[in-house]
Amino acid sequence: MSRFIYRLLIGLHPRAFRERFGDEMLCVFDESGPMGAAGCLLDAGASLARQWLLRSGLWRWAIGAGATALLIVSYAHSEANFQKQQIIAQDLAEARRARPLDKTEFNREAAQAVAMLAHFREIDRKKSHRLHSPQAASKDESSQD
Amino acid sequence: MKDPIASLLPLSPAALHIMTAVAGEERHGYAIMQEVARQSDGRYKLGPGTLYDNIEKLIDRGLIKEVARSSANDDPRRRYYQLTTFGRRVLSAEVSRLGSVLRAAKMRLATNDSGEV
Repeated sequence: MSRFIYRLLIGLHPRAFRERFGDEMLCVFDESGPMGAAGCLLDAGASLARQWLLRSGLWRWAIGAGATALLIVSYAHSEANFQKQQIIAQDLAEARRARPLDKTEFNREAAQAVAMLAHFREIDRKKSHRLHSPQAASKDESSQD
Repeated sequence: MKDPIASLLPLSPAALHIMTAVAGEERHGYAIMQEVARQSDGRYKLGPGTLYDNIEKLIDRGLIKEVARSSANDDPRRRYYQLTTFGRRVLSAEVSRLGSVLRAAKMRLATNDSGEV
């Protein structure tokens, strides 16, 4: 049973290493006997991790894949946030458009408009008064001072 | 240009033990494991995975090489390894480096022992 597991572990090593040393490793396992089998199995597990992670250059691929995944996740997150903000902005705009003015607001707006109109009319009146009678204008100015 | 021997030092414990094991005569994997255990009084044991990982590195660096099997009756799966000339020079440099470290350590310990009292 342990020999079968050991063969399996050897079979999981990278192909180049397995083809170069697989038979020899099995030979050493056979020579170690039942006393050395547990140690060989543990060592084969460590060797498997070492060969794939360090020697095969897989760690470079793992780092590359991790960085790419991180970029994709952060992009998706920012895109989702952007869409959420767009939806909120649209909702606010629609709400502004849809909301009717109530009576008090209408009265206030109307009063402001009337006051502004009156103010502009007053300015117009003063301007025309100055043009037609400069003496009155100077009198006006002195009375303002 | 960088010295090719100095760039390989210090050797890892596994590499040092394996190179020492195959320095005297060519050995196969299991014999190397036994020799390493003997050199270290059983304190340092190499498994086959660690052994062949190191053997691969040592072969690629030109420190050890595979040689023809010694007898026809051997298990055909066995392969024998031997130290190369370059490997012998690297091992000598490492032994000399370790000798200096050892001397310095002994001197420091002796100074401390005499100072303690």
